Amino acid sequence: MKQNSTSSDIRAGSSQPELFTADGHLTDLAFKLLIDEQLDSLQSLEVSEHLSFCDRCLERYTEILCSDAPVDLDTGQELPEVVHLMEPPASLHDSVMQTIQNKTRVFYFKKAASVAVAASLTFVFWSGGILSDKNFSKRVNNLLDGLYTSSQSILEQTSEISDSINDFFHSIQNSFHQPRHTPPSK
Amino acid sequence: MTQREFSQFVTKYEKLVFTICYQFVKDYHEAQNLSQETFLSAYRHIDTYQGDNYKPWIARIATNKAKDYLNSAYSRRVMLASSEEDSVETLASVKQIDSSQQPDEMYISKEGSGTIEQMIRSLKEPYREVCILKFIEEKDTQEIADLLGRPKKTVETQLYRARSILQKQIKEVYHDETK
Repeated sequence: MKQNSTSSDIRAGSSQPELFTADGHLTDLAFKLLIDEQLDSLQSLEVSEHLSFCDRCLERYTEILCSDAPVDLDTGQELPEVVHLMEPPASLHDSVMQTIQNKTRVFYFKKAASVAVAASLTFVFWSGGILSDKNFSKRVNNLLDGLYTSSQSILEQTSEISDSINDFFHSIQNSFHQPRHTPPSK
Repeated sequence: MTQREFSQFVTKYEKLVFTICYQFVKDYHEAQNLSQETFLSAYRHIDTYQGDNYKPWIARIATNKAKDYLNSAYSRRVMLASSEEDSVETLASVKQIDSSQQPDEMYISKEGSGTIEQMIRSLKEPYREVCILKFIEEKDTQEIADLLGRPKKTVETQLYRARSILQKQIKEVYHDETK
C-alpha cells in the first residue's frame, strides 16, 4: 500500500490530477483513480467527503462498481471481464449477524432483569407482612395486575413495562411515608 | 425488518460495501471493520429509511464510515506534523496565515493581500470556491454551505485544509523572497 507523508498531502498542487470539475463534481479520472486505488490519503478524503453529500456522483460511483459491463473510463470501451466488486472476507456476514444477535440479546436481558427484580421485591414485601395493610395491599394488587398485563406485551412494547415498574416503586415509596393503620383499641 | 431479512440484505450488499471501504482505506482489515460498522449502522436505521432503493443508501453509509476514518487519520498526522514543524519553526511571518486564524485577521495582517487573493484563485477544487466565498466575498460558513450545497461541517474542514495549503504556499513565497 502506498504511504504518503503529510507534507505531500498538503498541496495546492498544479501538478496534481484533476479530481473535481469546475462545478465541483468528481471527474472520470477521480473515479478511475479511486477504483484503481491510486488516490493518496488526502485525495481519498476529499473524494469521500464529496460522495458523502453528492447524490449525482454517488450514483455514478455505484453504477460503475455494480455495472455488469464496466466501462474503461479512459477509452469508454466496455470491459465485460472486469469485475469491480471485491469478495469480502467470509466472516463478514457472520460477524455482522452475530453482533446484532448479541446486542438484541443484551437488550432483552436487561428488560427481563427489570421485570425479575420487580417481581422479587413484590414477593419479599408480600411475604414479609408489609402488605397486610389493606390499602397498601389493594394498591399493590392493582400494580401487579398492571405488571402482569405489561409483561404480556414486553416483546412489542417494552417501554410500558418500565412505566409500570416506576409506578410500583413510587407506590412503595409513598406507602412508607403514610401513617400505618393501627387497630382500634378495645 | 426482521433479522432474517437483514441477513439477506447483508448478503446482497456486502460486496459493494466492502469494495467501497477497501477502495478508500486500502487496508483489508480496516475495510472489514468499516464494513461491519456500516451494516450495524444500517441495521439501526433501516426501519426509518423512507426510500425504496437501498443501494445508494448503504453506499452512502459506507462512504461516510470511510470518510470518518480517513478524516481522523489525516487529523492525527497533521497534528503530529504541526507539532514537529512548530518545534523548529522560527519564521514569524508564517504564522500570519495560521490555520486557526480568522480570514479577516489573515487578510488584514498580510501586506501582500493581492498575492493571497491570487493564491486563493489558483487553488483547485474542492477548495477554490469555498475560499473565494469565505476570504474574498466574506460570506459566512452557513451561507457558503447553502450556496455550494455542501454540509456546513464539510465546508469548515475544507476551509481548515485550505488554510493549511495557503500557509504552506506563503511559507514557500517567504523563503524565496528572503534568499
